[in-house]
Amino acid sequence: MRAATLDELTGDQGSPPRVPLPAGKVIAVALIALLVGALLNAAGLRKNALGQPVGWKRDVAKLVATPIYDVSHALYLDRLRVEFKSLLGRSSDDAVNNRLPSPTIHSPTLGATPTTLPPRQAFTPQHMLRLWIGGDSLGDTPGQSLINDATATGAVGIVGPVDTHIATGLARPEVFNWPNYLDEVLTADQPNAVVLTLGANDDQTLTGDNGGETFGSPAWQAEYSRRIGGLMDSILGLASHPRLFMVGIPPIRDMGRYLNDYVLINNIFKTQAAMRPGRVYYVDTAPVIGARTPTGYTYTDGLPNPDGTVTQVRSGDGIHFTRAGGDLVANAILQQMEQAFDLTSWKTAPTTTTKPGQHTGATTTTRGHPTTTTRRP
Amino acid sequence: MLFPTITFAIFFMVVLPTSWILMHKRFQWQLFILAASYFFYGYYDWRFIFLLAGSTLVNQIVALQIHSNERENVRRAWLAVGVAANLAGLGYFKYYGFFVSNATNLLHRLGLGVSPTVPAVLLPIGISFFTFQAMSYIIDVYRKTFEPRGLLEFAVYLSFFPHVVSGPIVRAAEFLPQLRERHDPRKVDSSRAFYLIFVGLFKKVVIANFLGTNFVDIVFANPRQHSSLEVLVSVYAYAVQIYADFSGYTDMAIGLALLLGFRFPQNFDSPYTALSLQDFWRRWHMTLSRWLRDYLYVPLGGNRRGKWQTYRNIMITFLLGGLWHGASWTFVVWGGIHGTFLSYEHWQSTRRAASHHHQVPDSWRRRMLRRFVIFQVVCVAWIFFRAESFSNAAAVITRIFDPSHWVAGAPLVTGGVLLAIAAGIGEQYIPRDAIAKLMSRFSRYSPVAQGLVLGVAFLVINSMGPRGVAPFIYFRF
Repeated sequence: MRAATLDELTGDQGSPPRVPLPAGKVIAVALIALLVGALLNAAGLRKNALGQPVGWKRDVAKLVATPIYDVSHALYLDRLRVEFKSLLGRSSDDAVNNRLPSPTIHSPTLGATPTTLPPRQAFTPQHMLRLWIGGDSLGDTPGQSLINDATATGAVGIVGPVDTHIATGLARPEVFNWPNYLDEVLTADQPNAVVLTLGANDDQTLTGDNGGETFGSPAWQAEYSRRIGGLMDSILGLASHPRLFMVGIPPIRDMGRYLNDYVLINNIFKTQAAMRPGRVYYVDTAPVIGARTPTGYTYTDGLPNPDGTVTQVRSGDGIHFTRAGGDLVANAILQQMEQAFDLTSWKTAPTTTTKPGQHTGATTTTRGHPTTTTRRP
Repeated sequence: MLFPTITFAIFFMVVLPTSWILMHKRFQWQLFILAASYFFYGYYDWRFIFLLAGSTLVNQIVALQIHSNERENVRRAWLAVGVAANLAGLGYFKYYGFFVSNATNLLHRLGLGVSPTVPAVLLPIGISFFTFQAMSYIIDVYRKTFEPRGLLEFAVYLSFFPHVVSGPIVRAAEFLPQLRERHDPRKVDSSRAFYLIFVGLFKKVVIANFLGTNFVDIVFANPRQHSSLEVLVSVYAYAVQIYADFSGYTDMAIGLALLLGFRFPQNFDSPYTALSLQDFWRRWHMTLSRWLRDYLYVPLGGNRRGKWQTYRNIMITFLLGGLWHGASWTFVVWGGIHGTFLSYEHWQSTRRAASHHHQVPDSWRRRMLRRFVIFQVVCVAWIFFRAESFSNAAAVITRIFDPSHWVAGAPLVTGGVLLAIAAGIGEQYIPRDAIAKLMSRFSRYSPVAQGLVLGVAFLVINSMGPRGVAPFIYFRF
């Protein structure tokens, strides 16, 4: 068999003649295209520049993108993109919003005397709990698993798909403003429970309101606590009075980063959750997905099954979860949810005894640790 | 470094003029393009550079040994060493965890309980592509259809940045002679190059990313939560997503190489217009199909050794072709579906030929019916390709055929999703002549007009695409 020639393989035989350009003109065409493209997309370019990790690359990108945006805006060239985005229903894509809400509670109740907590609401297939799940990319796989687990209770309905946005958090509101986004989405959805996975992208210098602090400094911790607290309170302030489940960051293969960065962030989550007992629950993922050591939990790719086989629970990057890992985290979240809500008594209770939203137990806290006194069927 | 990023645009705008300035100085050009390609490849992870350089060295030594020896058994032994080294590298980086976990589970079933910790091996990007290219080089040298070149030329061939991470799989005989050709800087086929780059960008950034993030990923992650219609449409959407993603990448790769003065073979030729599965494989990932045909199927005996041997060879080729795509049994099943249907087509055609069966007259309706049937077969196989496990694939299939969910709503099947699917399939039915005329007309525009048109194209693509660029599906293969 005759081997095909390259001319035949390119799939360009018999085409009408084209006018070739000299290399210099090709470069000119490319430069004009990039310049025109940059001017027309200036708003998106500026947003991309601001979204770079804090450092010299971001500074350079800002230095280039800002004057391009200014020129484009002055010449009304950015209007084309604005109109086009509006046509697509995505007008807010290029918006840069640095505003981050502050907490509405100021006195920590951590370590306080036992307090009567919000009632443990009951939900039934007739009156389903509205569950919203979202966060950064770490929330994706567990979120999908949670959809299966939670809906299997028969008393939980999911509000939309798992709403994750990769490489986002609270450190960089100009990249993605979670409080602003959640305000829009949750106000419309009015969920009873919110499962939020954040923090894994936040071990960096803060930008936006009160930004500029380098990671880990006391000022950083204070500002990050303010942001987390503000986010929690804005969610709790919804008309549906949802419970919030903050999912902690699990040990990752880079244990140095976990111990230095993520433990600090988890502790802030934990502290802020404890300041809102019975309304915000911190879900600790380390015991669920980590390998036990004498000093705590460490990263592991796989966990042993009862029959001795090993199931891989983490994906190849050493950060995200496999489906099996996602199932484990989802299970831990659901257990916490069952502390806050009664999702099961409808299965055995007489039809008239459990009314939608009825208080079926009292949850109290002692030194910040919630305990449940529930009338189990 | 991903093609549709500002970082790559800056990188390319440095490489393009420098490349043309140095083009007439062969040695300097080769050094420059090698450095640029290694920079491009190392941008993902600098450690991968050593793997690429190691592969280059080993394969060059093997090729020279094969070439310098006259004795057949020595040549064959060196070829075996080369093939084994390439497969060992691929096996370690890509399949180690897969083999260990499967072996562990098998031993457990046999009552021999061992629980080794499976070390996570980082998968070097593009390893499947450059390994196959290196293998074609040493096999061609062994077959005496190609003489080995100098180390620098071979290194440029293996690492050339437009094709290093995701193909097309360009053979040494197609690329290396171009290194010695005189490239005329006054005649760059820029209109075809720009067409391919911008169509590739549109396919990737607009169609593939939109369908992937807004629809396919959501449905496949949890098929039991969606209606039959949503799941069914998600399978078609994935067929379009993977086509737009992969063909978009190779379109860009071919266009970028063309701007640098190099021609690559075509990799996709309207695959969803195929009239048979054999026809599909002449149109889908054409460079891989040719590679599997010439370096696996034909050496196994092809169709020359009788009916059953032919079926066996088809199945082996496609099962291994499936495994090439990833370390998972779902990919093997994907290959098995294709192999089985191709064997069926082969059986049918030989039966027709033997019985002098009357040829049914071709008609427009008949062609459309055949296209429809082949598209369904391809889509069934895609379910296994996309699913993360057999249970996930089973959930997709059972949900499609579950009558209790046929009447449920399909809120995810929006007008945008249907439009993207229609665009991805419709694009393949645009007559080739019309595209050729479009490129020809564009080539007659002045450079300023060309730049303006392309600038507006940037606006459309950038505005329609989601923020950020999802990694290309084929990067992990």
